[in-house]
Amino acid sequence: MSSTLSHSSCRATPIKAYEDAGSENIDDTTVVRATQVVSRANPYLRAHFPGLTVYPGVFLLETALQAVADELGLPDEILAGPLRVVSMRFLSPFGCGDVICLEAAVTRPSPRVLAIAARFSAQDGAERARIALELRVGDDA
Amino acid sequence: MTPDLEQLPDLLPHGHPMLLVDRVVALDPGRSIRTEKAVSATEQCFGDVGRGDPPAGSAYPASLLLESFGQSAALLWLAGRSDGPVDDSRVLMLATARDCTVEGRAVPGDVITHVARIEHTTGDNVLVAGESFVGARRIATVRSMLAVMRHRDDLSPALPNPGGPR
Repeated sequence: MSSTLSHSSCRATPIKAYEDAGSENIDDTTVVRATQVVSRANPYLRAHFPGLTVYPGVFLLETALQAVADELGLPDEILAGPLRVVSMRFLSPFGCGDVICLEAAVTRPSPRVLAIAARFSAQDGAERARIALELRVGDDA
Repeated sequence: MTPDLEQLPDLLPHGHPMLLVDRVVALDPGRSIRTEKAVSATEQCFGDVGRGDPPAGSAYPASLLLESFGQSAALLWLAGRSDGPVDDSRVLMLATARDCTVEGRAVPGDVITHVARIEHTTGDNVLVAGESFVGARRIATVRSMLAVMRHRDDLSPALPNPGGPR
């Protein structure tokens, strides 16, 4: 299953944070992959910072959330609900023209928790960031 | 010398619409800060949310909430520095964060209050923690967030220079 530009049109977000996404199920894990090209076309990116475009670390959170939500068909109520960022680690920033490559392992450690372990690498494969987060979901999500 | 609270947001290098601190309400330099961020339906992030869309779509994004908190913490650190504003050759970067919980949301019309405190500083690195509120309702807790000041040249080759004046 893959999705392109399937970002929800009624969700508040600073950026359409991925361009292509796909997923596969491996045992109890859903692996979501997506890419994002960093562009100054987005007004938030032009402002972060003026004269030096750096993809905000928190926007990597958006990339992970949006790609996972759209691939898994999560309703907006879950994205707008309780969220816990277990950890974020930014090794090296993404700049204008860089391609962000996301690989997110999604698991269900308990009926009400969706865990996402996201790894972000550049086009050369070098890891640049990791984010681990949890979403509160219902029993039927 | 007590810094002018109204001018403090000018210390941040962020431009519109990425400058996410509207007002500094209180400051104890080097220790704690209280800031406000008004959430407005006219913000860019709500551009795709239309009338009649489900209320969940109007929740202020968690990414911007955490960024707003981070900027508040950055102001606390910058206001306490003895060597003045950050010049263009240096960039403030979020390095790590741990155990940040967004337990509630803000919507257009709300005013978010961030309360940030410095836990530890080492050279150009600062560790902060704090909470965010809408009124008396806490909507976020940040257990730890580490920001570092880096020279732009040190970020190369990760950041190609787009060139041109600021």
